[in-house]
Amino acid sequence: MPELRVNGKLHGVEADAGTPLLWVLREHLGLTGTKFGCGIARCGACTVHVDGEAVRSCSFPLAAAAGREITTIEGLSADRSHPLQRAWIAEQVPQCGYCQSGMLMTAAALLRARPRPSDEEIDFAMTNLCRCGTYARVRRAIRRASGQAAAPEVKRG
Amino acid sequence: MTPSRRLHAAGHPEPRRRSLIRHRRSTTWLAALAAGGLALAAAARAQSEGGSPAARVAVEGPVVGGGAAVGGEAAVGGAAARGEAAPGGAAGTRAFTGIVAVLRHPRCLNCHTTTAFPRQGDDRHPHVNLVRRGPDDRGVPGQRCGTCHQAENNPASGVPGKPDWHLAPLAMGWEGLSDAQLCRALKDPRRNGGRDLRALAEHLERDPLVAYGWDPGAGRQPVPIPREELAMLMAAWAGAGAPCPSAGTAAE
Repeated sequence: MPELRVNGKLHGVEADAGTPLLWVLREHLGLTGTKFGCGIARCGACTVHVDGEAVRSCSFPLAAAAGREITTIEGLSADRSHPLQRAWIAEQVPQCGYCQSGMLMTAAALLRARPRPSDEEIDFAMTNLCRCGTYARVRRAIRRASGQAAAPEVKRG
Repeated sequence: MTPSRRLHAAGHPEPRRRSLIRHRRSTTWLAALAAGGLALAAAARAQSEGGSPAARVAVEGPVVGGGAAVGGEAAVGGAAARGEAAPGGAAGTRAFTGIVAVLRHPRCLNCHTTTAFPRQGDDRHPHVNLVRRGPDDRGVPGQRCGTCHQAENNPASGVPGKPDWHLAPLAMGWEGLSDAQLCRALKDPRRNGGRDLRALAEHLERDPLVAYGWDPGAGRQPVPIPREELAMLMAAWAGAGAPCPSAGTAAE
């Protein structure tokens, strides 16, 4: 039985070695903050961290997760106090919210490597899809969380 | 069964397709070299003139991926006349024609780009998701190659995988090169990862990531000839002195 370390806790999991990590997290461990979107590693709703790197868990087999440190949205902070979570609330980023746990996990991986990312770095990291179109607020929140002033709003008209 | 259960079930790996490579008799490039370069050059010629269908495709078929084939005997003769090919160069250059058909195949060329991004598909479109090369050829923070590509092909998601998935360095980019330029680049240690011909042949025959070309996963075409045939062509090319086609015979 493979043992998984998720959010600092060890779990024994009985599942086929090829089972996507996403389904182990959601259905075996009950960590339903990580969402299923496309199932082909395209949308990013299923993003978690494996050893601190963003990984699309719908395309990550259970066998590859053994011995690695997995972090889900539930483990990003104990009390929703991660700078990104605070910034997400301050900027009122989510609309329906479905993609946002993946967005947050991708953003957290970005800030871990680039504490003050440029707009270009944000754009190339944040390729998660959002049907509500929250992209501008996502960028603002990442800038806020990294201690950078928000970029000027684009004037319309 | 709920949708999620169905997806869960779909996530279980399918039985591996029997690998063409695994079930073929292995002919290593070392063994091929031991058999003698000239003999292999003759073998490559024989293949091109009526050997296996795969070999005929490799030597005579169109180059996939935007490249152009060298000009056959005329080109080889011209190169030899200008002293650009070593003795036995005709067979060697013919072998290179087979090699270059592999190198220009989308499974290889899509990650041997000269761009800041990889490509995808047989139409070689830029990789979706704004994927970038990044400073270490493995993506950028937040979106590394390993964000999606794992050590094996994933039958559930369809995402291909091999260990340490990454782009070839920019110095090893082959897009836009003529056959002659690509040939020189292939032999240049500054542009081939510091490899001599022996190491180059070994890279093509054994590198786990290069193996992707022959095991691309469902829905993708593998490179046009078996890996051991590429090894034989490499041995024939090396045995003939690794001649290059003359400059200007073909350009992408």
